[in-house]
Amino acid sequence: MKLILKINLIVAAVYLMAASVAAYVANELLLRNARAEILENANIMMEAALAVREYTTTQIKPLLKTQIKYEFLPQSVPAFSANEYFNVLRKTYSAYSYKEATLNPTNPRDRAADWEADIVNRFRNTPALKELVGERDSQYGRTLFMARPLPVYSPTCLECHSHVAAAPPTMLAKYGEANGFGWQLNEVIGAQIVSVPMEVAIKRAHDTFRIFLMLLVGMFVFLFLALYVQLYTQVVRRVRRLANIADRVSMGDLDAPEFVSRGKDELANLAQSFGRMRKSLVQALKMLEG
Amino acid sequence: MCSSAALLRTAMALVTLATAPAHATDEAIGMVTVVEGAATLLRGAEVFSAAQRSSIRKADAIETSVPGSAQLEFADGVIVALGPDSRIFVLDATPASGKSRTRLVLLRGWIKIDTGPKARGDGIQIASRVLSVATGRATLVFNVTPGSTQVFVESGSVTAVALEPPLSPVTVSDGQFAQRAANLPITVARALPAQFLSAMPRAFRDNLPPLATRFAGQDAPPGRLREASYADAADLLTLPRRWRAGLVRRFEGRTQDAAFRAALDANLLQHPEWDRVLHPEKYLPPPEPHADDETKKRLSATEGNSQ
Repeated sequence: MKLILKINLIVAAVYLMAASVAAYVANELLLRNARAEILENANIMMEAALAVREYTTTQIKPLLKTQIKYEFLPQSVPAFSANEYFNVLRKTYSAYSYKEATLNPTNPRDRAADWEADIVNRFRNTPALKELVGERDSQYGRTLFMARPLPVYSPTCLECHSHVAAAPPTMLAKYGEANGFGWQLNEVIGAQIVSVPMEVAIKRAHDTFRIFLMLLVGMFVFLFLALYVQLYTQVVRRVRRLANIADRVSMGDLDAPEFVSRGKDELANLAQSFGRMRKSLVQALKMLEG
Repeated sequence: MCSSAALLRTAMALVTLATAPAHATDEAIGMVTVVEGAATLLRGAEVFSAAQRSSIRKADAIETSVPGSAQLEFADGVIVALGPDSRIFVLDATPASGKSRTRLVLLRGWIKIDTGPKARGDGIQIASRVLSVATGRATLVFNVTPGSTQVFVESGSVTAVALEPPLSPVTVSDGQFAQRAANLPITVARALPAQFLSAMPRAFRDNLPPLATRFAGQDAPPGRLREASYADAADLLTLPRRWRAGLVRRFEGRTQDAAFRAALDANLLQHPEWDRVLHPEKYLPPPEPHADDETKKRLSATEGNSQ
């Protein structure tokens, strides 16, 4: 096996091993970052929902307190405001969603779906559980959901949700008397559930990984070719010439040309040593003949 | 829930409202704090343009345009908002130095009343031709249409008494709606009728903002527009008799105006007290018999006896 082939094979093997490790680590890091980004998005959405709820409770509800006596305005309900806020957001980011999934809601659109009811019941059965993160398949592909329990934290909630007789007549006129009553203070009645599509972030990670891999392969090809050219011109070709001259001299061809090698590398030193050896040999042969 | 005695006391008070005359005085009892569109003020026998900061006096009638609205604030803290095409007659109100109570008659349209935190126990009295309402501390919307009078109690509670014919008082509580059509009893409902809500000025859904303190000492005299025509005064002149006391004296001078006089005469059946003013000759005492005639009668009688 020729030297250049041996060296090339060794270099290729080492590079492939290093590239595989680098690719694996890079892929893992990119996926981990993508998931962290998805979680961060979910967190921001959850906090935004809480901010809207807080804003509604502290600023909007007092302003509408009188108007509610004339006509029930769902805009005064924190859950409604949070949902409306995200409905506007969904016009641009349709795969993102927020829901205050409730087992016994006043507004039918808040009623928990099956998988949401499971989450609510987990919170109801495990009071210590404050957050739940998971993945599920939805119409938007793989989706990460983040859920937090929704307890009846204030007696003011019970003004509308304890029993029918205590509820504002305008609310009854709008939603009827069938749902949204019988809530108890501190009872978990639902869950805030944020859903964030994973596909976008994962696809972005895969795209980045693909570019990284292409760069790795490109770099390997470039390095391999550069190494090959350098090995051939700096080593292989000079060694072949030197070997050729040595062959001719060994066969008694004392007229073989001098091996000219510029530079001060190991092969140049070898050529100079070979030149001196050849001169000594020619001189010795001339002495024997004379 | 009010006791029977309390209801009786309130009914007595409402009867007082129903019979009390309105006497005009020069003392300001409140102020116009908001005018949107145009508002007019019938004061004495003249019509003025009401502006923000115009003072209000007893016996004034304030009217809003369409579209338009106004807010009045009385010295006792009562805030009254008028909807479009509405007219109230200030029977009485608490002057800064006095102790009477605010009593209003809504001639037509919409008003929202907030008695304010300073309201005394007897609050305000507001009446239409068929219904009178007395409040303590309360906020309410009152509407008068040709067919009926409606009231929605936003907060507090009120006592409503049917007038013409008078019927037993009814308590209308926070969030309740009461209605009375002529000759029918008062009906009370918990739910607000959609028709009432859709017709009600939207601004009435909000609290009435107290503004009078901003304009303290900045009275803007209303601009005089004209002498009152019969059309300007007709709402008052045709009120139930118990609220008309003092109106003859108030508008008597306008009988010099031929059109006013003719209109009064044409509608005399609705305000017969004007007959004495318009046709005083009917009310002259019969002429005393002549002295010579008496003597002749006596003489002829004497002669007859002697024969």
